Amino acid sequence: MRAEPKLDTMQTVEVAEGVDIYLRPAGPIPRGFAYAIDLLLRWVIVVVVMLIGSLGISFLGIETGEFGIGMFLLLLFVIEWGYYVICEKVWGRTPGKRAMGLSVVRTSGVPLSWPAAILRNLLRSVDGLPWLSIGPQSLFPLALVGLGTALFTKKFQRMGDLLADTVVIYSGKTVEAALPVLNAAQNQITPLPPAVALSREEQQAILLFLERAGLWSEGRKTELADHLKPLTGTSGHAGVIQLLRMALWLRDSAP
Amino acid sequence: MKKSTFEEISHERWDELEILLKQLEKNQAGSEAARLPGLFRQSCHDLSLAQHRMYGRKLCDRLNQLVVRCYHQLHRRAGRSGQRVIQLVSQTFPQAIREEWRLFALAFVLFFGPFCAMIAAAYYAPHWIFSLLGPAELTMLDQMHGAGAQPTAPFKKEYGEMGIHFMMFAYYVQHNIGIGLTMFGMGMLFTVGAVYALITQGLILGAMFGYIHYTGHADNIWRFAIGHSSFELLGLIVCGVAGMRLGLGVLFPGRNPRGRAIMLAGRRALPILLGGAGMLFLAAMVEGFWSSQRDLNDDVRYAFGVLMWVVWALYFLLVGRGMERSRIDDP
Repeated sequence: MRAEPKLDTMQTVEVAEGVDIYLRPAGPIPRGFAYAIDLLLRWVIVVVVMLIGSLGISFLGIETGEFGIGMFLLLLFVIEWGYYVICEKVWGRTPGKRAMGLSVVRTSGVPLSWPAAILRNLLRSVDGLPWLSIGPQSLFPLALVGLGTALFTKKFQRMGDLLADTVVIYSGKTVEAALPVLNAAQNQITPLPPAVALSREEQQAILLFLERAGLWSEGRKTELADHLKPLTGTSGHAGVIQLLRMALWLRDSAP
Repeated sequence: MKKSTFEEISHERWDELEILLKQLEKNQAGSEAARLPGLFRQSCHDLSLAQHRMYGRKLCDRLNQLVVRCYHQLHRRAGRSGQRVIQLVSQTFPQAIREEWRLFALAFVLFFGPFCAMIAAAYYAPHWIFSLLGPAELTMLDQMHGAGAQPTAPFKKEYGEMGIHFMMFAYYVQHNIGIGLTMFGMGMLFTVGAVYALITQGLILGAMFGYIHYTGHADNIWRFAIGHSSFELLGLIVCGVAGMRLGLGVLFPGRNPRGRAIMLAGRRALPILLGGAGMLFLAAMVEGFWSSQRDLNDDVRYAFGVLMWVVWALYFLLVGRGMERSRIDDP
């Protein structure tokens, strides 16, 4: 069975309890930022440890010698290969993903297992291709492979995600949740029943318009409301008001 | 029912669940954790109702978040990592290697072919060696394995032998396991990355051995390397096998859709990779703490090295045989 083409990226997952939960896969932009934050953080950890090792210890007069170098090499290994695996397995997200309101789950919505966390992160070497050399021992991923794969899969999965059956999702608050609720009494808008019977999908679309209206400019609101001229009977700003009145009626007064 | 009425009669329950989830996520929940399944079912019900009655995105999002978080808590895996590691070593890894014996043989040839060729080049065409190794590598090799040299020579010895051994161990962990893991990932590119890495590793290591042969101190490098050779070389080959397995999943999905074939290949390759990385870790230990010891009798070194090759062969051939085929469970 082929699903109908959709306008948004929402992925529904049916859990055993018979309800559909939905996951919002995150696209390359926020994930890119998360990667940059993590890269910076890892770099800072290495530099700080190196400074403590070379400066701080010599000030205190403690000689770590080869043991110190050995520990530093082991730290490099863990930061390079273990950082993502451990963060994503233990907390479901790295600090960078946390900052961007993202986390990683299996496509079924459950948290990562160890094998999944290992597989998805070992493939960073491929997803990051081609790697740019930006200094001694430092590489920066152009990530064309990962980007390409992500753009050609429905859930924005890079190679590592495909291999481990995982998906990066928004787990923080959604933008809509932060918007103020439009209150009929305060804004002096009276609810208005729509002139014709509307289907569920149509009602839902109008309610979404109400919820999201705060995100858009006047021009955008007008543009969208003008599509509904047959329903509202007017266009321009008056159309927007008509539509909001109907939405309020659907939200608060509909039987 | 109005949305406000619905929220009024249910909000206490949601708040209770929210508090419980916070405790569970911090691992601080006590006996009240037993309420989770009940509250979870109720919230699922609430979510379906809210979705059906179109109570708005905000409420649906809140309920969806609650349900997702409950779902995470209920499906959290109890830790039994120790047992899984034992099973990997005693069953899954050697069984997986036997299952992939064709790939293993191929990787073996891909690595040892160039390796032996470069050693032979020391006697017949030494310019091949010098086209692969630069002056820096040659100096390093001379210091470590030249006439009367010690493998630990390039390292300072101000802080005692143990420090040097530890540093060598750490270096080999960082360097060698890094190579193995990259080889695995790059194998995803239609096996090309893994095949390429096996051949180049064979060429470079072969050239290093070849150069020492060329200088006439072959015994110097062999007595150093024989102890960890089985761990390191087989470990690299095994990582290559894991990488090729991934690439084959992409190339030949068989009757599965490609996405699913890739997942299955990952599941097959993972125990092999983990085993290979473990072997490289052991190799780093042996190389750092055993091979680089100064005062070991050569006979002991060679006997140990050869014994380890036999042990690995027996391990791959015999361990876990006749037992049920075990796999890494659903990744």
